[in-house]
Amino acid sequence: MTTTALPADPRGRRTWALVALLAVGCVVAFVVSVWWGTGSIRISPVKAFESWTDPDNASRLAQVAVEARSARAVMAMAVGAALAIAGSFLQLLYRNPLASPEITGVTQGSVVAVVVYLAYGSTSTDEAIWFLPLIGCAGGLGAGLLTWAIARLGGRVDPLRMILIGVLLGGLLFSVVGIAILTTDEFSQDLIQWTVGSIQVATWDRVWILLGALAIAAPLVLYAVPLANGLGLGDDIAQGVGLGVNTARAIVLLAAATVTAAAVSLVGGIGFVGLVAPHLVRSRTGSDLRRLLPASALAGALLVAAADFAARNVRPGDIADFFGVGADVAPTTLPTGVYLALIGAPFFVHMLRRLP
Amino acid sequence: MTDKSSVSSNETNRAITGHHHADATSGAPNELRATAIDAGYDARQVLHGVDCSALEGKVTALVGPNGSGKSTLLKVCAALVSPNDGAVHVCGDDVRQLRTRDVATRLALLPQGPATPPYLTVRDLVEQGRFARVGPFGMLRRRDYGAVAEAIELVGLTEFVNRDVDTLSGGERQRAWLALALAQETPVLALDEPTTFLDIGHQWEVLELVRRLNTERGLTVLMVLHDLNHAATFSDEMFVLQSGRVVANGDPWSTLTVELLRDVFGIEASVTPDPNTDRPLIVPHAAAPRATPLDS
Repeated sequence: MTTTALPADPRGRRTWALVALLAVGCVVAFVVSVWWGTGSIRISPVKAFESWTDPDNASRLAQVAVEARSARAVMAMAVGAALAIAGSFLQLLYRNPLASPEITGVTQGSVVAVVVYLAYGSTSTDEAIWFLPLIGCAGGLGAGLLTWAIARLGGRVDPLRMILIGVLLGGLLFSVVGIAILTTDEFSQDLIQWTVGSIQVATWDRVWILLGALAIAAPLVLYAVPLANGLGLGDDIAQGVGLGVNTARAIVLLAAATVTAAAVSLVGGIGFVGLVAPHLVRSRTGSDLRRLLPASALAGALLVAAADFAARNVRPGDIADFFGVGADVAPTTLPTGVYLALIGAPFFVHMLRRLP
Repeated sequence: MTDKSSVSSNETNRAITGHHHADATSGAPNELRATAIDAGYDARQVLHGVDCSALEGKVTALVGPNGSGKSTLLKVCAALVSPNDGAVHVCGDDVRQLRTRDVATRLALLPQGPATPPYLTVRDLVEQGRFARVGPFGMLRRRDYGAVAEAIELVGLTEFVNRDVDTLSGGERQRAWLALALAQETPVLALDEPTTFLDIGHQWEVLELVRRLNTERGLTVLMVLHDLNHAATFSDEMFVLQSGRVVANGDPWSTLTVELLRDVFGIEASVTPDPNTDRPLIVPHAAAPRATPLDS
């Protein structure tokens, strides 16, 4: 038997160069976020570092600012990475370039659970910090399970059926959010913020909850990678190479739903990143998840970090002034999700022009 | 040039495939047997009590007019479609008793016209063929890389290994999908109309490659073919299907008779020896009036 050596894979090299670049970008984004956060306090990276290593000598204000800003930056990146991972999985699972966490119903399920709980169920203000994320996660996974169960009614689970059912369920659930917002006076602002996704609420406690959830999901995600790669080739090929197609599909959906629910239950219905991030890197990394996933996760992290940076530093009043409209009615800040859509949409149009 | 003289022996077969799953095949012949198959989709019954086999070291062709059930039969044989009745044995094992993963180490399938995802290189595609052999996290080991390289070399795509599959020509693309099946290192290969959408040169290129895999590697091949002359030239055994039943089977000379061509395929044709291969050469000259189902 001959043993041949195949020519080296330039895409592998390009991928790791891109991953390294994006990783550096994330570090830079973190430093800039801590340095240049909301309001007037500028904290140089050196000062920020000192407030960690030598907390006794640092000013209280600097400590608070560094803690809040670093938590927010890490939260933004973790959320971006999680949603980008989910989007990468789902685009292969559904064999559809427009697939994203929103079309599984998971995002909406999680948002609905949290919003309904805040509007009607919450009685005490001193509940455990992990309680709300848990409700969000349960809502998200419940909606994903429902999508799966309805799609299964016809026997074989077909990707197109899953998309249609997920979109339908998502629409239905979002109408519940609408009802909750319209019938609740007190904190409808908060609920709306939650619906479009906001990272303002980040604290290190909540960051650790998210990172913990993602760490628990990591083995599932890794296990799902070869399954999703196989499913991307079509059912017949996937089964031919040895995948139990329905089981594989359930595992991949579960992996995507878990990371989505974890992220959304902490920051609300952040959209767009799961759709856009994989497209940003795919032409360099290829469709194979072994390379696409790390690059896409970092791209998502950077994207949300950038959007959150805008959310913290661009005051809506300035934008309104610029266009000469109703500056006095603008809120002081807009939720991150709004900027994400503003950044993401033009990017996506650019991507679409290059699609085959 | 005859195929039968060069069909590789049992021993060669084992040498190529045996060490990968010595326990899996446990000395059973590398053959595929479908017995008394009833199968269909929902209410529509497509196959009625079909017996079909692809014997060790042979190339077996499934032919028949449109809608005769040949593709369905291949899918049943490859365990993609579960029969309502009857059994399929691959290398001596009942596929109902096997996990999907274990079927994939015995039989590799090339379906008809698979859709090619964008941004996927030949290498990435062919590596998927190792799914049933790698560990749970899909890590490829040295032997997997060797099998992938060998499969790509066999189909002659080594220099295209880093090209995206959707940028290849039709013939190259079909060879890439074939390499995916070959990377599975199975003793049995099932192909569903491997020449569809290819021009005549690429059709022959693919079929000659399949024959070479059969003679040099001892692969047992079962393929659905549309073109009767392809079947006559490249197969050792033929099964002719009509309306979900096997109406003829045997070597090409005994199967492809003037009467069969008229009754089953609806053509008036002459069958003469091909001067180059001594295989039957079918030259149609008119469409025959269709036989009613009662006549056949």
